[in-house]
Amino acid sequence: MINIMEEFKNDFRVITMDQRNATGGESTGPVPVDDPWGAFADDQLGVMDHLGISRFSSSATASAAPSR
Amino acid sequence: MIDSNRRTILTTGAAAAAAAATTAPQVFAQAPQAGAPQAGARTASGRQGRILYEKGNVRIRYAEIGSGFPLLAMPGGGSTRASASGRAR
Repeated sequence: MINIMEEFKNDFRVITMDQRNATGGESTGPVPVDDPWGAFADDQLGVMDHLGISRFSSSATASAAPSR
Repeated sequence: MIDSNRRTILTTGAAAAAAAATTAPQVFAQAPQAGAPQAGARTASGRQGRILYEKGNVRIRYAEIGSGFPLLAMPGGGSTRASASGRAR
């Protein structure tokens, strides 16, 4: 497994967040049933705007299937 | 106002990452938070810690570390910052 924060901190300003519906996370907010991915994108862009960042690279990780 | 092109790019990327999760091995599973860094602490390589962004009834906890060109490590839907730190369930 890769620790993106540690791997890239010497070369990039790495920013990550809790999704608003994350179990055990510290973000809160309703997830619209008609456009959940749009809501996540709004949150991510909102954080970047909040930080004054207009250009950035991105990486994505995904929730895996539940462990068995 | 969020640019619609930026929104479309991120939405598409997030959806693609979620689709990949159905076939990818369990390497990016959501993990419980443990040992979260202190808020706002500055290090030699930049700011590290938990920080809050609020808009309306949405509150987003984010973290940043390092310096240089910004890299957004997007967690999957329903995931926390732990997914970018390689912590798995």
